[in-house]
Amino acid sequence: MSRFIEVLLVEDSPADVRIAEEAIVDAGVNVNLHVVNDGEAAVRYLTQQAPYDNAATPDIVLLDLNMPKMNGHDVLDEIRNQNNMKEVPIVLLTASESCDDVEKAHNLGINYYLRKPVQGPGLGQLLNAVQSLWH
Amino acid sequence: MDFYYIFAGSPNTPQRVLSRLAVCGQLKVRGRIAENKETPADILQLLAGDENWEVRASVATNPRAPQEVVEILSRDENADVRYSMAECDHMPFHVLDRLAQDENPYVAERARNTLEEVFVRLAI
Repeated sequence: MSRFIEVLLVEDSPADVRIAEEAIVDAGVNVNLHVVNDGEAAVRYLTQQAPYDNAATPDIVLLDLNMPKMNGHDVLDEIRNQNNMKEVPIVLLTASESCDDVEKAHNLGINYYLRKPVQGPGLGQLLNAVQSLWH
Repeated sequence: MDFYYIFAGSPNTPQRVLSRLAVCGQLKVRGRIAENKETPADILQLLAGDENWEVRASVATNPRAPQEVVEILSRDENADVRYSMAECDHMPFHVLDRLAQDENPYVAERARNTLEEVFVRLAI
């Protein structure tokens, strides 16, 4: 049996969290899902600041673009320079139709982007590919 | 969705992941890595010996290909590899000059045209 993939979902919308959870179940992948609800919490989690002092570096980050406090671009800007976060795969989740949003995120270091609503099969393939290539 | 192919072409894919992908056995994935402008020299060196000429041609025309790799591939047995290099205006002059005298007339003609285009541009 393959090990569980540690996924950090950064998402402010409870409805989108629920959709992502369902997509993970549909994907049939063994996942430990951790959820934070805004960009500031994501940065604290990924830099192991309180209350996330003991948080392990996730195997993959699913990062919403539009969030309160700090948006996805700001989070990327903040964390990609951290030593433990340079190579962690980050996938942008967006409902935006703007190519500029995605291009800016690519320039800030995302590895892929998924259009919302997240779908189970696509997410499953992505998680499996990341698991086999990064770990 | 072929994520191996997608990651192979991404400028944000870490080097160690590209190394794994380079030996994954899928031709289109190796070709995509060979085209990736962020692929490091050691991986390009590995792919320069690929059995498939399209992969070798992509390495040869990648601006990050090491000089010694460019030299070797400019003498590749496959004329399509040499032709790809002859089309490429960022090739060193001496490589284009050698290709302009290639035994294959199409390669030679293409290299002469590229040299001419480069000279015209430099004159402007």
